[in-house]
Amino acid sequence: MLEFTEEQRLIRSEIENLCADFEDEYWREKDRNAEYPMDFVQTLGDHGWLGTVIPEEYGGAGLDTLEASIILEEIVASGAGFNGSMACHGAMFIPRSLINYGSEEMKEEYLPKVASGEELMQCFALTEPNAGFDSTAITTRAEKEGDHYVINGQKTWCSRLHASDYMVLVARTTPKEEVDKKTDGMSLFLVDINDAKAQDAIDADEIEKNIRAAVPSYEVWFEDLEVPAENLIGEEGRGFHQVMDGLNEERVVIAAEAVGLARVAIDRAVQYATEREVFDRQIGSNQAIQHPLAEAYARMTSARNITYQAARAFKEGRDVGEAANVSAYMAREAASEATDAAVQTHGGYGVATEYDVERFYREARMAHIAPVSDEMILNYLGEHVLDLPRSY
Amino acid sequence: MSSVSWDFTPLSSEQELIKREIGRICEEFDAEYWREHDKRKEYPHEFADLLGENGWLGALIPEEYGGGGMTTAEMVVMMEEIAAQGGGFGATQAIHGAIYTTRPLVEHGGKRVKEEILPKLATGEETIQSLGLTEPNAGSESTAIETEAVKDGDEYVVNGQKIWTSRLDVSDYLLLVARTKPKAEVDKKTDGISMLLVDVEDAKSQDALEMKSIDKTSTNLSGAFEVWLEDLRVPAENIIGEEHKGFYSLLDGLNDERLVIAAECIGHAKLAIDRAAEYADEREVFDRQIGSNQAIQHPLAEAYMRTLSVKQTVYRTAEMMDSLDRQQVGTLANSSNYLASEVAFDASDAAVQTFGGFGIAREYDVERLFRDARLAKIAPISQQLALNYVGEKALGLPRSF
Repeated sequence: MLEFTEEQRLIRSEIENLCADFEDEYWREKDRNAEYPMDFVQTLGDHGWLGTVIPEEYGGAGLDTLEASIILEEIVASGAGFNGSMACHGAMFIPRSLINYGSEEMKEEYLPKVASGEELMQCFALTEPNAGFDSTAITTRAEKEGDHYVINGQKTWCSRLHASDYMVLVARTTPKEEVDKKTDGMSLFLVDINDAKAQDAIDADEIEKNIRAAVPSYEVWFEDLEVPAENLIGEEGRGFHQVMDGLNEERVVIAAEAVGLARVAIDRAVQYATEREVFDRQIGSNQAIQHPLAEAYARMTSARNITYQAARAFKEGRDVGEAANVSAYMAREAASEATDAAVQTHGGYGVATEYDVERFYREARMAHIAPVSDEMILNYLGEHVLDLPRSY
Repeated sequence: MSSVSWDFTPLSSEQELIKREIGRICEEFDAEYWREHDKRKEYPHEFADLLGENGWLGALIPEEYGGGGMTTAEMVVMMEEIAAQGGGFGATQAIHGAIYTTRPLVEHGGKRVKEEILPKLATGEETIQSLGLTEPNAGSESTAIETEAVKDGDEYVVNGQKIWTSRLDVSDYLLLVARTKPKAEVDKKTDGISMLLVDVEDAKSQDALEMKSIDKTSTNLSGAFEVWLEDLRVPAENIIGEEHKGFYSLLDGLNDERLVIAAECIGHAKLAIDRAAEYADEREVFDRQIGSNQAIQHPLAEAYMRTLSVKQTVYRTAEMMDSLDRQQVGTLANSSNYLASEVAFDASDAAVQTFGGFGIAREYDVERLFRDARLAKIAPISQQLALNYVGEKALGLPRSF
């Protein structure tokens, strides 16, 4: 149904081949031991895929959201699940801030290294304990002192910090009380993590969790962290708008990943439903087993279509706010339904790690919360598309 | 005043034109028109006539016979628009048959049928609104039909009973599906079935057709009938397609048709959401617009997303139909039908809830949308059969029915 170009189909099969070297047991182990899949990420880097959206002049592949979506969907669908896609999607998209807003010097210095995977820029520090979806409530401060900024504050849910060379940090350069619009006064900084450690200005604690365990997230404290003034990304005070710019892209990509999760769950469930015999017949011949899978397939197909329509619209430069949100919502729903049906199809084995579907099931739950919750999507649609009063 | 944006899906210039033209026709029929016809269980003749005069009932008839020669990509726009402009699924179903029953005639009709009848159907001078397939003992399992057509010289003699034959009271022709060979005598149960074009007036004058309206409360714009046929004589040349192979001809266009039905459900959902959003915006309770409550707003936003999402699949599939194989189209059409009828229902339900007590008052129309949407999950194809198709054909699971 989806009319991919020859090049896009090629990308897809190449990713499929790369992923074939990382079998189910690899991902099971990583998830069980909460171990970051560095060798997988390095393999992607070696083949240039971490630089998918980086322009060719900086050593990247010069491709777009659409291709990145194909790559990430395929990684998830290989059985890697979100542990696989989320181990690397940061490295693929966090450099976007530099591509769009960074100075020429910054781009020349950093992009080639992150395009090749030699260094990793995959930690994004926005969320704080008291500022979740209400991003303008962040209080981490960056104060200019001569040729550098001094940063103090606390962040949370910073993913992949330990596996990153660079972090993109959002801080207030003007406190909320002092700006006319709460969306003003925020700025983006490129932080060299090793340098921050050498300054003894960063401290981090891993958050223990049961979903997507192979991609750890951290609480992070900054104390008098000095960042060179030239590491400011884009214009001072415009950070919020710069972050917002990337959100639609993120939603499309996350939707593609959720579609991949629905696919792999349906594949595994269908395989099991065909093999497994109970009451002298394949369990898949029971409508009670078959229909939930067929329904999940219908939802997955529909979500997949709108996701790639949104990706295409993005490529064509059309406004995709609406489609990106709809894609994310529909795809995560498809993922939840598919993974739940897959667990049910497997009966008791559905919760045994050996069959993987329990891992997919846990991951699907997370998709309803991050990077944006179902409720925030509904708020957006209600306000901006249905033209109803703002409800939050 | 709330204004819901529905324009994410880009339309081609032909599609834009169709949307505009249909919009112009629909403007002449206000909410009260549909409300009153539903209340009185009256067929919307004025609406059907205007569509017919403007050639829309002949949309599928090739241009050489005076028709519109339209494709599925155009049909989805037309039907979605009719539903969305106030009529809902009830309005599209009232004229769907007149358009889609011409299809077997176009594909499989003989020279006389094509040359004499198609031009009249194309201009709306005559209509073929009725398909006589379902029987008391053959619903979703069509091959179980027992009505028989026995050849007698240059005629067929038909005996049997049909049920749920829609709009027979307003149709000049009935496309009748009958067994020319009993099920017991064929190797494959799908063999031995034929399609016959029946002139309804002629059947009545033979005193060979009797009909009785079924009392119902959904899609009231279209009457549905039980029909008894006794020694009905049909000229042999009125056979549509090959004798005994009618079942296959009937299945031919089914996938495209399901896509169009999905589009009707999409239009229906849009209508329900539009009405509900408008009310949620105007109505104030506890000193604020009820739409500022997430409990009211979120179900509408959710219905909107489902509608937009399934619409993408319907429009893309319609557009790409020629480059897809039959099974791909089947999977996409059945999936879309399932999801679209679901959202037509969910949106109508959310609309009723948004209106509170007024949700069941006839005046606000959403109760009609709710009643009509319920049927969309059953007919023309039940959600269960759509799932059976996807389970068997797309997932490769064992046949489950």
